[in-house]
Amino acid sequence: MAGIVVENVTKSFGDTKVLRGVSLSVAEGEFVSLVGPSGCGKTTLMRSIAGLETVTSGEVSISARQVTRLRAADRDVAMVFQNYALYPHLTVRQNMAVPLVMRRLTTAERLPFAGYILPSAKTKRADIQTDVTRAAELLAIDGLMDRKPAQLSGGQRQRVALGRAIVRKPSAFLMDEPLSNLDAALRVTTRTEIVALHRRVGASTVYVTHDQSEAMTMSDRIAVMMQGELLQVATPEEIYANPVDLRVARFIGSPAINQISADVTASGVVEVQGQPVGLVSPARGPVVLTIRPEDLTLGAQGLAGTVEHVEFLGESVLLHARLGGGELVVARVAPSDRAHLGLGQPVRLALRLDRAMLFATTNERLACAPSDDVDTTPVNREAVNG
Amino acid sequence: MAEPNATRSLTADLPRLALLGLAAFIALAPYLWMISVSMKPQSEVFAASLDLIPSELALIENYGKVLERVPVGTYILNGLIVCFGILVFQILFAVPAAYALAKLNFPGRDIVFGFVMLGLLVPYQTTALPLYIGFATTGLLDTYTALIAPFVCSVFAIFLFRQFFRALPDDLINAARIDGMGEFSIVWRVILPNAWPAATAFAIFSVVAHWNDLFWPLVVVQKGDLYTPAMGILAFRSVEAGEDYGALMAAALLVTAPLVIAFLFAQRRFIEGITMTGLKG
Repeated sequence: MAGIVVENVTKSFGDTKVLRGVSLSVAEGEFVSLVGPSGCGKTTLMRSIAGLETVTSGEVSISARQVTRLRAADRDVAMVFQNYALYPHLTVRQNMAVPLVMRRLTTAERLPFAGYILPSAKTKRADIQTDVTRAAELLAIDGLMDRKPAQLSGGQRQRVALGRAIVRKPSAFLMDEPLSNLDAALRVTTRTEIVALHRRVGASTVYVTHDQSEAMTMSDRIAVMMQGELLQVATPEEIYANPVDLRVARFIGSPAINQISADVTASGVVEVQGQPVGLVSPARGPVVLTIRPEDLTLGAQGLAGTVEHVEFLGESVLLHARLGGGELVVARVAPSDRAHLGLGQPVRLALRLDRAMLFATTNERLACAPSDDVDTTPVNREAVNG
Repeated sequence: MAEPNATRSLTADLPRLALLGLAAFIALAPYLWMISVSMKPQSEVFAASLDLIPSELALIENYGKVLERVPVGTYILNGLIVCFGILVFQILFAVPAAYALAKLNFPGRDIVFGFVMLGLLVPYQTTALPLYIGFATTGLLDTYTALIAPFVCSVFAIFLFRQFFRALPDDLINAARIDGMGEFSIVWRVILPNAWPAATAFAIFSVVAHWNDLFWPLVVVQKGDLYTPAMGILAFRSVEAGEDYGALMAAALLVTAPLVIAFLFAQRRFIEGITMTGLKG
């Protein structure tokens, strides 16, 4: 369990606390995504791991080596930047060789024309060329080696930046929103390639993104960060199905999870607009009931609402309905249901009770379970879901 | 590009080109006149008519006189040594200073930059006397050191480079740090190669100013073999040429020629530098 270990790291810029005691451990070879809205501190955390930011308190170690007080150059990490940060004055070949030149050659061997005087410089440079060519072949950029970054497309620059990062086999790999400057189609193909590349290279990877779909598709585990704190670190499936905090539930999933204000009565029955929904909870008082759009089904019973908008997506239809309490909920229903969904039409939406979750108004997750007295159970769920 | 398009744009550009051409001609007229006079015999220089093309060439007479009587080569060599020496040191000192002021965070940075700005306000003539006394007491008058040393630290260069470096993306520097570079490597391997437009622009300012500088060499140099080009013309005018304007113009042309040629080359690089700076992705 070497990898990257961050222990209780805090970072303040003046009076602003950007990181409030973050602990995260990334196993050897694991791919962990850091997601969160802009300004949540995810980039600061990554820069603290890289050594571009000094932490206010806490410890960082990489491959079981304490690096908290080391410069970025000595941490043996590679990083891919959002705008690629290629050296504009160097060719692709030279760009990729820089990390190797800086690490393998001594100051004297790096001087211009040292190759003519020092035989060691010559052999090392030849080795570097071999490694650069190998990395370039892996990324299919070996045809671009003599171009300058300005002559490359965004996708090609991105590959060169990846190449520069993998060429020296770092012990940790950091990526700061590397796909955000690519167009949508390229983004989808490149994320598959990055995952494949990660499997091949096998270095512990931290991947920062604000795009939850990137995090869901690429990661072994996702760390959801908000306001300088890690709210939950878990597998994509766990984060999606079992969030521990309302903010995590809200952030992950598209369309966003439905939130319905509810009350737990003195006897523990969960009610929406005074109607029991078929859940019981040990909590009491006002709560937030959440349900994913695909866990709402059209039926004869359930929450009453009126159709406000219908979106046809091809494989499914998103039904936007206004509930009696004024909340707008979205249900993912079968395309065949679309025909009988006129605007303003009253509908009933049944909850898939085993998927419903309760949160306190202060965002913590609360326990709840389907109740036995069946007041509002999903009717014909299987039939509707096909 | 399609041919009709090119023709049309040329016609459309014609008034602009004519106006710019006229302005350029007015600006260049004295220099052209100098070239013309440097080729004319004495009699024609004082003729009543204004002819740009000499009716009789006196090239050998005028240029021969200059080359024979004064060591033009020595002056030009001195000019090159002084200008090049000054420029190298200016860049050596100003680039790291500007990098620190532009991209590093340290306490007192803004105060230090304030001093740099203050330095821009002090004309160098005001420091001439104390510097002269300093060189005189250390016995450095009449040396290249006296010609070069006062200018090696240019606040203008620091200011110019600092403004330019600020526009370079921070992530470029971060990438270099992660790739294993120290701050000095970053300055010379990443920052300076990407600051060619600024460096070329500054080099033009610096070289032109010091090549043509007459004030400071007059203060610290007495020996003829340390004369800079501007001093050489001055000496030639008073000692050798007298009323011989043809030869004087020939001397002036010889002395300014390296500058003109260097500028023409630098200008090309300058424009290349600007168009090549494709930093943003």
